[in-house]
Amino acid sequence: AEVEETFKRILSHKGVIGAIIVSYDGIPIRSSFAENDVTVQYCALIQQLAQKAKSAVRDLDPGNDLTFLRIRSKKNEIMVAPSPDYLLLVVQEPNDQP
Amino acid sequence: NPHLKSEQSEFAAAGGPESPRSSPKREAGVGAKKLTVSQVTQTTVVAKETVNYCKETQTMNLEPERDVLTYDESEREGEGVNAAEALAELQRMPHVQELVAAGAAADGAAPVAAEPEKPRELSDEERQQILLSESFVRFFDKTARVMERALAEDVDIFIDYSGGSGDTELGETAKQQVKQQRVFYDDRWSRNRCVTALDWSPHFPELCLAAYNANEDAPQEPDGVVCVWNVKFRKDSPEFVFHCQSPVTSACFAKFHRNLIVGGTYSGQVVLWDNRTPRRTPVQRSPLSSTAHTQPVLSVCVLGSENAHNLVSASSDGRLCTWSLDMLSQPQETLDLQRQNRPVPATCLDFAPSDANHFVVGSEDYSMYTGCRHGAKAGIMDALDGHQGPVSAVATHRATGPVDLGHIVLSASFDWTVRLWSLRDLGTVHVFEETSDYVMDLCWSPVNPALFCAADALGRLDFWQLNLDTEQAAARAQCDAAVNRCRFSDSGLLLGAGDHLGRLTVFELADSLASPRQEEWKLLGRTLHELKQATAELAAAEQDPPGVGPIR
Repeated sequence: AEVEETFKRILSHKGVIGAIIVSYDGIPIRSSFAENDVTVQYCALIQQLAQKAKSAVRDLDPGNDLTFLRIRSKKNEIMVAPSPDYLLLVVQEPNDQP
Repeated sequence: NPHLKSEQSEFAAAGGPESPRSSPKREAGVGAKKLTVSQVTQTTVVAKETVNYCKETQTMNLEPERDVLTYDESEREGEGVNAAEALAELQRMPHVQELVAAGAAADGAAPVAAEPEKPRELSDEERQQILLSESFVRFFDKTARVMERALAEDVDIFIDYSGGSGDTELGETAKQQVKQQRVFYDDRWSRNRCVTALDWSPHFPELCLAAYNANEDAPQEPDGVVCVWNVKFRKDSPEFVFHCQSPVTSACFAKFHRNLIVGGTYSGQVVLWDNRTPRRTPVQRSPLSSTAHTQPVLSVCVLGSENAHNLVSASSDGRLCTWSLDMLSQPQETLDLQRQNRPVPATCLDFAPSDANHFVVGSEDYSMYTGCRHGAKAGIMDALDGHQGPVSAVATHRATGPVDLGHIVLSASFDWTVRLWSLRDLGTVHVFEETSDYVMDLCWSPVNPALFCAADALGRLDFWQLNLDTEQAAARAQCDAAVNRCRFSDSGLLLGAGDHLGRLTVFELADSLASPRQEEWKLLGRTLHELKQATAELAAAEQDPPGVGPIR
């Protein structure tokens, strides 16, 4: 219930296109995208990328760990917050006009 | 017969009932052979899957390896296992599958893949189960907060100043002394609730808490709410939300514990919240008994030093209780404040800045009292009369500096005035009569000794600078609704004002107003002296001195 409320609040933020909660094995638990294949696509790609980023960080310094990943592209920004068990993914449209 | 021979030997090798030793002898010899039909046991041994991975493959662009995903879902398809089990299994499994190359991953889900690799779908029950599991709730609580902060910042790192319009903001009102910085309001938790308490965190200067009382329009929501807001980030939702069953009438951050928030409620309970746990209800509560409070708790504060501190709470029937933060089941000490054998109907309480013993309490019977907690004459010591209405707020001088001004006390009352008292001679130093409505709250600035702020029921915030002008407020700010509480932050540059509609407005003060000048302390001493003289002259002229007198 609280999880739902917070999820909705995140979605109602300015510019947010969608958000997905992914479990460790790449399965979407909760997604705001209506089309399932978009969700699946995001999950699979971002999961791998986050894993890669995490291993890169750890290879560079074994005591270090990935805390947040932000991918800025021309059209939008993907923010990934990984954790050992789950992953929260939010896609936002950046507002370039002040 | 070679065929039979081979069968026999095979059978013998498999360990049949016939003794294996006899067959080679038999074969060597040419004796009569006993031929039997033997059962052929067939076993199929599955060819061992050679799993190989080469580190180079991970980084190099391998075209043909496209159809195998990192987590080989196809192996587990059709098993229908619990998500938690799968998780545990996966964590045990080493990553020795053929990995997809980074280049190929970019167009991974393209239909070029030979087999459509669909990740395993979760049923709705499984989803629900995960969403309700504790580890998920904990993860989501923390992560959502971080994500919201990231979402709220809209710093544009790509801004190009050469092509931009380049409009500067410096030309505007640089002279404005007090500017409204932001308004904190949460639709669910602050709507229709009056702000009853405000406090700034001593550990994290950007955190402030606001306590709210009940929302009459929503009876099923909890009556008492405390929200912790963060001034540093732009996100609009509170950092933490705590609630309890009874409206919260006072709250403060525990000074020596960075995770605890203490609240006093309308029912007389003192409650303790901890922001380390995900639960929003209090972790400790005081009992509702006659040994503790039975009337609304109007003030809670933590006094003492790091190693020896106590929680002191005061309720509106004049009872002062001392508690230990570890054990709220029973107060350590109780003190009943009485004047002429009648309990003091207290409305506000404030302790002298570095003195955990002496305090000042304002009451509904139009006077203020000084008292001490310990000692032979514990209780009310002196009375300060002068107001013509119930005292709504008292404030002892906060700023510390070369001159000790702990004897200077301000009081605000419903008689539209603010009075400045000196406890040394128990008399009024000055009366500020600028306001035109009930003065609800007062606060001294913690850095500037001559600055204080008074909030009234019209929503007006008057900033008085005693060294500049004692007849007129140095700066003024306006809120839309009646302000119930105002508090300076520990830096003295921000002021939080809570109004009766549940909004917490944070004002930013100009440096010229907020920071003390070099000679501020000296000037203040002189100002106070002048004010005292003026008041004494006025009194002598009227021959009706403002009532003053020790009560013993």
